[in-house]
Amino acid sequence: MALPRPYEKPEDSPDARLVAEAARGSPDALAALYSRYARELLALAYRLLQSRQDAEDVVHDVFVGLPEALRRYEERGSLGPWLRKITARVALMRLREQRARPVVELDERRAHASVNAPETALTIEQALRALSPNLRAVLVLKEIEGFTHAEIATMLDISVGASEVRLHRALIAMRATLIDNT
Amino acid sequence: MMRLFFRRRRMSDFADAIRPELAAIPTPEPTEQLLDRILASRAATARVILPEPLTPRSRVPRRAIVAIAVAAVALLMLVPSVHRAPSTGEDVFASSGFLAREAFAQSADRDGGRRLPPVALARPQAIRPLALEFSRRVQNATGQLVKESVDSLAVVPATVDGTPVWQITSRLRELVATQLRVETETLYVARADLRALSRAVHVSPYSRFERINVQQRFQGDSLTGRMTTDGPSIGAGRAIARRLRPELGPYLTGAFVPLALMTVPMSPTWSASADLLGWAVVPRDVYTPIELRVEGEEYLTVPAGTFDCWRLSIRFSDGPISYWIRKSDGLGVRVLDERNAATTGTRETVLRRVTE
Repeated sequence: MALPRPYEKPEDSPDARLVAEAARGSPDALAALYSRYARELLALAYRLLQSRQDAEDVVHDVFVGLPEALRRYEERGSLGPWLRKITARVALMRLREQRARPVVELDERRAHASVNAPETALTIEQALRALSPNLRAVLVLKEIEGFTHAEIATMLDISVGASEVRLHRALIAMRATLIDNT
Repeated sequence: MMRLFFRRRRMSDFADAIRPELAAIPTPEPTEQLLDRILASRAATARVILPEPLTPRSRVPRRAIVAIAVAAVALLMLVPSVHRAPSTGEDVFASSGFLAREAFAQSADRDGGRRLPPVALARPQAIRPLALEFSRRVQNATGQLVKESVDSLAVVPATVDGTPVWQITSRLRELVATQLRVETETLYVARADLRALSRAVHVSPYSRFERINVQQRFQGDSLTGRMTTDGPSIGAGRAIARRLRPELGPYLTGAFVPLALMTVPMSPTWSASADLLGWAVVPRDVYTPIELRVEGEEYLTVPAGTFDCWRLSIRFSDGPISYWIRKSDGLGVRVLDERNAATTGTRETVLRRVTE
C-alpha cells in the first residue's frame, strides 16, 4: 500500500533539520524520514532477504533505533547512503541468523510479480531467488544497490577478492538458471 | 589467460544486460501500518542499537606489509620486553564477575552451537534464603598478595508484580589504591523456574565515572535496559537491546553463579554448558560461553569450614579455571583462576561464612 499520510512536503524539510529533530526523538521527524527513505530501504532489505515480513522487520528496527543512531551520525555525506549502509548491515545480520530457517513466500511473490511485471522479470526473479544467500547478497549489493566491492567486503567481512569471486559465481549461476528456463 | 579475460568480459556483459531487469524486480511498498508499528515501538520505549555503517578497509600493498613486519620484528629484538599493567579499561562499559574477569570473550553474533548439553536448573526448590560471604584474593606472579576484597551475597524471598521471586543481592567491596570500590548486583529470578526477570548493577567508581548503573529486563529472548553514569553523566546513557539466543544458555549472571549448581543433580561424569551474562552494553560483553565438567572429588578446607566437594573445571575461550562446590547442596565454595598466573597473577575466591 502506498503512503497516503499527509506529511509536510519532504522536499521542504532539509535532512539536517530532520536529523536534529529525529535525534531528539520527535515522532514527526521520524515519520518524515520514513516517508523520504523507507521505500528504498525496504527495497534493499527485501532484495537481500527475499521476504516482505523480514524486510519490514529490518526497516522497523532501523527506524526504531534511528534516533539514538543519529546522535552518532556525522554529517560527512548525505543521509541516504548512510541509512542504506546501516540497513544493509541489519539485513545481513538477519540473513546470518536465518541461515538455519529459510523462509519461502514463493506463492505471494509469484502473484505479486505476475501482476506487476513482465514474464522475463519473473524469470530473473526466480534466478535471483535460486542463488545461495551468500551469492545473492553480493549480486544485490553490487549490481542493484551499487555498492563497491570494497564496501561489500567490509559489510560481509570478507576480502575484496572474495567479493569479486562471489559476484562472478552469482552471475554464472544466474545465467545457467536463465538458460535452463528458456 | 586470454580465456579467463574473455570469460570475465562475457560475465561483465551479462551483468550489464540483466542489471535493468534486476532493478525492475518488484519490491514491497512501505505501508502506513509499518510506520505506525515503528512509532508504537518508540512510544513503548523499545530501542534497537544499530550497527555502525563500516567504512571499507584501506588496502595495504603486500610490499608494505612485509616491510612493516620486518620493522616490527626488528623492533621487538631491539626493545627489551616490558610487562604492561592490564588496561584499566577507560569507558569500556563491561562487566567482571564472580568467576573472575570473563568479560570480552564473546560477542552476541557467536556462530555455531554448543558442544555440551545445557546446564539444567532442575531443582529450583533447592534455592533457599541464605547469606554468604566470600573472600577474593589476587596474587601476582611471585606470590605476593596484591588485592583482597570481600564479596557478600544474600538470597531473600520477595514478590514482583504478584510473582514470587528470589531477590539475590551481591556486593563486592575492594580497595583499589586508596579508594574503596563497590560493585553491587541485584537480580530477581522467578522462584518457580529461576528465569531471570530483572537485574541492576551499580559500580562505584568505574573508570572515569563516579558511578555506572546498568539496568536490565528479561522478556522471552529479549534483553533490554539502559546504562547510565553519574559524575560525569553521559546524558541519557546507552540503550541496551539484545537478543539472547534461545538455543544457548542458560544465561547466568555473576550473582547467581555461586547458587546455580545448587539446582543441578551432580555425578562424577557430569558435564554441561551455560553462558555468563555480561552487561550487554557493548556487543562483545553480551554473554560468554562456558563449559563445566566434574573433574574429581575432594575435601576442601576454607574459612567457612571443611566440606566434601565436587571439583569442576569451567572452560572459557582462553582456558579453564577450577571451581569447587559442596556435595551436600551444590553451593560454590572456591574459585581458582590461574589462566594468567605468569602475567597478571592468580585469582582465588573462597567461602568465608554461610548464614541460613
